[in-house]
Amino acid sequence: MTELILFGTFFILILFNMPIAFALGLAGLVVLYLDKGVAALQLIPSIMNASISSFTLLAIPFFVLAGVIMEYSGISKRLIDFASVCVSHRRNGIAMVTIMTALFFAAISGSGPATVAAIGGILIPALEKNGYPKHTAAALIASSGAIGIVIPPSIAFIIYAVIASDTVPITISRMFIAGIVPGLLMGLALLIASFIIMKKRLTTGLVHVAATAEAGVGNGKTAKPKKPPFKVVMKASYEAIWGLLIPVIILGGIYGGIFTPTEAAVVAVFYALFVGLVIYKELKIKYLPKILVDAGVQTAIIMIIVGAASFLSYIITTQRMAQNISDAMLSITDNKIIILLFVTLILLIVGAFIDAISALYLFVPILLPIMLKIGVDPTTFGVIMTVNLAIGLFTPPVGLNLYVACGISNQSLKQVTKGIFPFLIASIIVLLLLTFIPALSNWLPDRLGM
Amino acid sequence: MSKALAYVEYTILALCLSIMATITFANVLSRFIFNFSIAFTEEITVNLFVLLTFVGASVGIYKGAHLGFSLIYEKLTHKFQILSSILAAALIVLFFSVITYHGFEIVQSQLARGQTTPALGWPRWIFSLSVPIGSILCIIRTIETTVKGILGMKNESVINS
Repeated sequence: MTELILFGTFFILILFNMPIAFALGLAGLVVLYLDKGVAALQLIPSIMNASISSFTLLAIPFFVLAGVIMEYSGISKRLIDFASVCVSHRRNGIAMVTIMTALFFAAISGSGPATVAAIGGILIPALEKNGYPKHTAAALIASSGAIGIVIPPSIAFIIYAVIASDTVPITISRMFIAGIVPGLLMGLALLIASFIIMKKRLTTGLVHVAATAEAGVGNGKTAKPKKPPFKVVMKASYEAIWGLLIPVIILGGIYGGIFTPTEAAVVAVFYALFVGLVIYKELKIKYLPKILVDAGVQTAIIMIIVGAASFLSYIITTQRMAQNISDAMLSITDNKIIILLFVTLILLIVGAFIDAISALYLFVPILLPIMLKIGVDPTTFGVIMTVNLAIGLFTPPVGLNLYVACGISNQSLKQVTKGIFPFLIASIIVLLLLTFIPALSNWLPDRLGM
Repeated sequence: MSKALAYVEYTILALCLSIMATITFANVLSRFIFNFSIAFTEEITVNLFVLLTFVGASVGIYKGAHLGFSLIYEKLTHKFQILSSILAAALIVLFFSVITYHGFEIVQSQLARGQTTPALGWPRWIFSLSVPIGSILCIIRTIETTVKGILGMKNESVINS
């Protein structure tokens, strides 16, 4: 019964356009009141305060801040240049450039929409020039931006590890490393999908971005695009190396045991500042207040969900709600494959309606115990769940990445939706692979002894 | 009034985030260079984090930045849209009023008992203030945004920092 009131209140409030964070808080408030009376409400501020004031979660504002600083430093432009001198002379090179850049950017940013915003502005027009229909171009960007929350650093993995570590010992570092192979697989799947749908209309070498254009390579005039001259490749690589070093610092630092994820994030902030101010010289001191406010608001939007959701998960735990739901589910079937498929289906639907962080807080406390009972590894489950929610980022009707891509490309949601299905199918195939081959997520962290 | 408040909010956000980043970075540096940990400063950082969250949530309210699901709302007639946004606003105000009320209760009891923080020995109530104060800001912004939305006014308090 309590389960019904909780989820019922939450979904009704959301349908009437209440922000998810407050719907979560109110649903929790209602259940707490019904269960323990008005006196129990005094717990709310202390639980919220305790859940937000966590040193581990401090990684979130710092990764967000590092991302915003990089947006202003011109790093994404240089990553695109680098990718285009590497692969743009090949067939369907522009799709390779797009996915390569998305992967690079995913490795320095922990958020999907941020990745779309950073690369979409330049790459959507470039894709169009290369013969991609506008809606397909926006759809490719929206879907490849979702890799941002699978490749480390990833805000979703930070939150998953924090919630899951109440039940099983699991670290953010392990989840970060576990996301590498699945992220690359997603990139590969999107690339294959773009080859299949663009089979007939592919033009090659029309890529038009700064570094290659400068050298007169691949500007569409030459019938057969040439590989850019060595000098151009060197220049683009040198410019990009400063950005490419960020994942090395973050992952190397965490893997080598030099930094905690929070410390790695703050090092990334100051490194990005250094690159923007001193090396690329595109960042100006006068932008800093705006950058800080932007990052502050983005952080607050994530953390107020964390605060509201945490007293909701307090209720889920104290009410033995997880126990009840898992008993109910296991009484229907204990077939691992059926349960996994069912959970995947639920998460895909949920992911299409609510954001990843709320979904993690609502479903990890309930689903993780079930997964452990049927013998699913918690690392694998974290990866499955995150990829699920990543797909939710570009699933209509409310995928955040879709909205950002619509905004950048000046199209309606309906138009971009037309282009999204091939990429959706490709990603769901990867999701199923990850679900049934746990080694894809576990092999690398096990190998590295994380 | 609204603009002045926005200025205060932006200043708090920028200060919180820059102090948090600087302290944490200083801690990393001091551990590597001087082999000396200033981990006790963590207490300041995580409490600024709470302040940042609540003040940022208030800015998020009037910027319309909180994530929501507007598909059904957009299909409603104008009359029902107004009704639904008043109802939603009332519930949000209720939520933050509960937090404010009990938040101040906590501040009062800590003040009365003279509690201090474990690492720095600072009066604890100062840190506890951020939740109720941030919640009051959220209440103000919710009412402001809803009233302006109903009157069809543009939100002038969205200024560039």
